[in-house]
Amino acid sequence: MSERVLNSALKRKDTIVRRLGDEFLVYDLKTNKAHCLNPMAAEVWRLCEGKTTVAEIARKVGETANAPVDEAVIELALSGLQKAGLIEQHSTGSEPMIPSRRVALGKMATAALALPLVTTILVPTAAQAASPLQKRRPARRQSRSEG
Amino acid sequence: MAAVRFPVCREKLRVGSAVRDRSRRNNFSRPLETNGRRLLWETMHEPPDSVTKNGGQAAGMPATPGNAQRGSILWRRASGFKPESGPLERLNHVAWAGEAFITAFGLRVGVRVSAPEFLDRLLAHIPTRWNCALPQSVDRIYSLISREASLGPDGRGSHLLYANNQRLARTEDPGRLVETFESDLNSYIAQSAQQWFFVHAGVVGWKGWAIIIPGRSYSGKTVLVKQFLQAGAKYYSDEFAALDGQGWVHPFPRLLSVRAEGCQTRTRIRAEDLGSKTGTGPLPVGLLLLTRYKADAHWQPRVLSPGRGVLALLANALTARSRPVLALATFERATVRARVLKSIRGDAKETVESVLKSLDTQVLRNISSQSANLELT
Repeated sequence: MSERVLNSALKRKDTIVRRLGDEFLVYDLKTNKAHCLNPMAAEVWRLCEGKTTVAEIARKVGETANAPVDEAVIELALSGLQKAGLIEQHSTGSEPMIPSRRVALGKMATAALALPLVTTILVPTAAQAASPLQKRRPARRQSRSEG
Repeated sequence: MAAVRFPVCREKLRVGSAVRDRSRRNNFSRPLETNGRRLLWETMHEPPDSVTKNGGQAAGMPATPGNAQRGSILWRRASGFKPESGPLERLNHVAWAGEAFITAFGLRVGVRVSAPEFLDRLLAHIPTRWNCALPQSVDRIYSLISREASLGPDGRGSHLLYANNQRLARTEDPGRLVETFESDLNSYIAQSAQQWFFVHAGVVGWKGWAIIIPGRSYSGKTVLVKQFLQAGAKYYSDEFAALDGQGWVHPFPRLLSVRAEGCQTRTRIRAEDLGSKTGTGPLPVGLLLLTRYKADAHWQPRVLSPGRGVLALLANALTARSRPVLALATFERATVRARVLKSIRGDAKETVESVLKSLDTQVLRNISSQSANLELT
């Protein structure tokens, strides 16, 4: 696995990126989705330059975190970033094994490191975000929510 | 008939898509007091004895004392606007019994009614502390024609509400009309105000910090806001968090829409009715509560990162999609000193007590130390 090269792990260009502490906020102008990358995911995403191997990313992340990072954790991060559409095809050849979060957590050398996490929301249009008038509310929802 | 004087100023004022000619408005006006607040100027006129749907003075024609006495607001054709085809031209011939002008968040809104009793009723539903202004150009004009003024030959009619030249409502229920007016006005302000971001949220002020509860309609914002107010918080809004460019929250204090226990219908009350006060100035965000109601649940919050707080604001913002760069920057500033808590909740009272307890002991202390660090650096 460590020999595999990320041929197309290119960061998308049509995004707005802001750094907030150790996190990255990424706004995808194409899909109007906003993503929050926790520090681990942000670091992996930052290192995706189209020519770095998974092993190299794991090593560099480990150096930054002062703790060894297993390649399974990097695969998990890449999987999350790819699902969010933040990187293009991240591997060639055989499909990588994406570990479950539970497995990845077991491979974390220290509890000080958090698993990579990409949180995504769809930014609403003004019409979607607008409040409906009270009387247009479906009757069945009135009994389910408090307010 | 007493002589009617007209202003000599012939300044053309742009109103929506039309241009209003001030010279064709009579200058008999007096201040109007409503709910203890001075609300601009109501045009004095004779009681509207009739509504001229298709008649009256044509646009561009000289004003006459008769027209002026009816308080008609006359409009002139703007380029690209076809008065004959739109209802705005016909609206301009209605004998308006009262008018008001409001400024809020940099926008100017006019309201005109054919029956004077509607004016107070409409203005009672605008957020308090919005400025009322002298007659001037407006960005949007609401026109309300009462049922009596719209009676047809068969004696039937409805209340009509227009926003510029678009009809918003045609109903016999005045309450529905007022509700539509309020909803549209709030939406218009929230979507059109430049340099501001409006997030669907309940907002209260607590010891100099704003607590924001983002959430769509019917997510339980108002229930929590009401509980916070009863606990001594200041009221900012139960609908929108109005954020300026620095990420500070400004009041948007519309009437609270609360539901009595065991009753599905809502009533509108003021924060003062709950023994609370309405906030006046902007506040920095101290706490973001991401929550939803679930029966029998308990408030067991976990702390989220500021980035997740920004996402929560984006997910409930009205115009973030059209201004993403500015939205990210604004929400980042808003959450940089805020604690973000997330949990499902059950009883509102239990939740509020828990939140305020943790605020007093933990959050405010952290924020104060962060503020001190910021000042030192």
